[in-house]
Amino acid sequence: MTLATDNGSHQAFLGHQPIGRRAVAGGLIATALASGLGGAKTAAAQGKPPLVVAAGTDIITLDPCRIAGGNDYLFFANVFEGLYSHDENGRLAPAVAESHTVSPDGLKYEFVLRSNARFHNGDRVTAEDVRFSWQRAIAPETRNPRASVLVANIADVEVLGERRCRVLLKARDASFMENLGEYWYIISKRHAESAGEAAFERQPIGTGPFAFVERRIRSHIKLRSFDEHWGRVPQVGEVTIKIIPDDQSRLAQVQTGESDLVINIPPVLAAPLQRMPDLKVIRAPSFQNIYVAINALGGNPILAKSEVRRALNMAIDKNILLRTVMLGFGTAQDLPCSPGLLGCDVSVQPYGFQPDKAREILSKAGFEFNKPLRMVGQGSGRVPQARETLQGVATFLNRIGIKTEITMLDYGAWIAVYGGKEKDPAVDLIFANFTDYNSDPSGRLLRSMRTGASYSWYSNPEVDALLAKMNDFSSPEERASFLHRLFAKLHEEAPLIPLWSTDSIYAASRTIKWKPTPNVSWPVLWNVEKAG
Amino acid sequence: MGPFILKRIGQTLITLLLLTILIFTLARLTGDPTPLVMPSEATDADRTFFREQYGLDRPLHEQYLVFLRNILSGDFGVSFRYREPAMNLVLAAIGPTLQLAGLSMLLAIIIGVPLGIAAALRQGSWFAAIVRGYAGLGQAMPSFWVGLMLIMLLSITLPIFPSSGYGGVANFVLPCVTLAFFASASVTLLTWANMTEAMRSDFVQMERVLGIPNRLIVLKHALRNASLPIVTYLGLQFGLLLGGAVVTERVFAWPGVGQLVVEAILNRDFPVVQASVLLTAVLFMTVNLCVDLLYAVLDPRVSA
Repeated sequence: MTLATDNGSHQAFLGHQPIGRRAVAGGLIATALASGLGGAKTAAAQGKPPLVVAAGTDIITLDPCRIAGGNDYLFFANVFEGLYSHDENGRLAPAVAESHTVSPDGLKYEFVLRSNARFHNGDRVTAEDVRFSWQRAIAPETRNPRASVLVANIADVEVLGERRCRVLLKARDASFMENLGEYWYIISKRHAESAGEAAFERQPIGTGPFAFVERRIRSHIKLRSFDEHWGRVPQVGEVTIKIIPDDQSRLAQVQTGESDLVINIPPVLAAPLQRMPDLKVIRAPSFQNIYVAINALGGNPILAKSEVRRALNMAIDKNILLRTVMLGFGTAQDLPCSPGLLGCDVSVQPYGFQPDKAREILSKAGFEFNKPLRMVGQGSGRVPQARETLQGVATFLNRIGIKTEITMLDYGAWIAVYGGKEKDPAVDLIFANFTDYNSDPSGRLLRSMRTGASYSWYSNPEVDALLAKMNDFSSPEERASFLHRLFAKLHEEAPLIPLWSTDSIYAASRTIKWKPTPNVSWPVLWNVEKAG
Repeated sequence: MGPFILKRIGQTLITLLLLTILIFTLARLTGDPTPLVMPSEATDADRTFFREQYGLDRPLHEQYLVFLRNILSGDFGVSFRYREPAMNLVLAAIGPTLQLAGLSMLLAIIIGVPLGIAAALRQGSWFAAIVRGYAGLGQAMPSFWVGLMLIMLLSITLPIFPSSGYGGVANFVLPCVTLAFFASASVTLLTWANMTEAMRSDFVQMERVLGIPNRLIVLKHALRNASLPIVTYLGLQFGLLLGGAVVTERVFAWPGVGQLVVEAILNRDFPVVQASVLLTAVLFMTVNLCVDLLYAVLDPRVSA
């Protein structure tokens, strides 16, 4: 069992032992064995300063084919890589592959792998590994719940040489390159075949800047710097990610020096933190959008009218809400996307805060002001200030004479209503959030705008036709222009009330120098620098 | 004594069977776990497979019978969320919980019993007033607030103890003090009241007349007489701590059962909820059984 020493700052506490020394819970602790993984490389990593990160929510899986949600990228974005991924500025960049070419019909992608791309066990990455990664990702026994996004559309991966492979698509997919970094991780064929199905439950081996050391569920994850990485060699050695669910306690971690970096700081705690001399608040734009979905499916027929939905948008002063509820930690949006998302830079006439005009439009449309709008909120604290946000929206609606009834649900009940196959006709407005994993908008749009999609409370055959065509482009320019048209149409249709995109907020000690990757909601740690 | 033990064990087993029905039903009342477990990218086929895989598509009574059959063979199912055997997760959490609960109770006894006795012996003194103040504060202050104040004082302002986490000896101090503060206040008041009553009883007066040393009267006779309600309370409190130290566990990121079960309920992770509650119940009942047996030792009339 490879257990490196704990953060030096911990030693200040009397008798405090590193967590890992006591972690012996059989099947619950996954540990990378020293053979082929530890040894000299661990020693090299120990020459660098350790990094301790406090996170609020534990990851669910170590298997790249079983990712269940955005939080899991806390691990995968640091340990695994795709052929392409995103650089520290959030732009698409080569990762395990060094270059690629696309056929004119957009159906064939040829990749050249980096000669110095290696797995954490020291093996070189070969085209056979790429092919195996795809085969495992689509194998029925893997039950990859996200296969439909990318890998299921691959007809074959041809091995053209040790470092060259060709990916053949079943249908053109303009989102293919953007999704490579989050939906198709490259795994070691040799490791997976020798370790069996348990390979990724116990000893995940990727190609990322950090190698897995150990995990104890609900307690911590340990990683170490992978110094043979092809280019993103971390400046810190061992990384311990502690799971501290309570916001205040997580924050105390950085105040006491027990942790160097704390993630997921809620805005209400971040604001006073900015005045503390020994700490700094680091913020970065994210692709998490907060909005209120409008049930346009006929439960309340008046909401099926686009002018009514636009009027509801005009009734809300999202800038005031952003300042008062989120304390400014976000960017107000008029479109159902974040700036930085492909196509979201389209120029549209903002709805603006026009309460009088909103009331006038609603009156003309025959809106029944005495009939309350039934609103459903998310009450459990997964999204910062969710409750206050919906209450703020209701207040603005009340101001123009609309009555509202709010029901707050815990996350489980909320997601059952929001993502239910049949949308509840008794719900008129529902608080919602959506986070994109990369700059491509197709995941968001297909899941929240298409008729019958899990998060869609809206149906329009015209929009459905646009969505069906959205990925059928081989020219990026043509697609960008198409996406502009699509977003402009959605702005006109107003199927929801976009509020803002949130900032990812981190608290760090002054010894940390770090620029978080923009537009992701998880920390990518390879570029963290720590003094001393 | 033998029939008494057998009767109590029989009652415990019947209670456990009823509990399996209750916890199975209550867990399922929270709704379908599929939307919480499967990512938004999952297809309908993936979701259907998930339900079939865990038997969630079957009628409830069938699911219950399978559940009962499995737990009788020691299989509590696999966590929907972590894909680990549910009992493994619970067993990993029960250790930290038992340690925390045990040490807290010990601390509560060490503080509460002497304070209660001393206050009972010095009725109306300034010392009794201080003890009353301590007990009042202990009962009035919510544990999350006490926990956060301790972190602020003893981790941030004076960096003596780690603010959270499970590991070394130092990690135990703040959560144990937080839990023991409330429990010791109750133990103090209970000891105080029962000792006062015992000290006023006829047999104590008689012992005084007989010239038995005061120390012996207090520690051997009065305390033994006053101990029954205290033991009862300690048993109940320990049981509560096993499953109910949720707030303290959360504040101190303590990977115990309380937090595990709350997370499992919120995530509709039925196997973990069932395994946690059943194991906690077994422990709780075992503690109660021990308390009953201790009763019988302390007061032979109980088992008569």
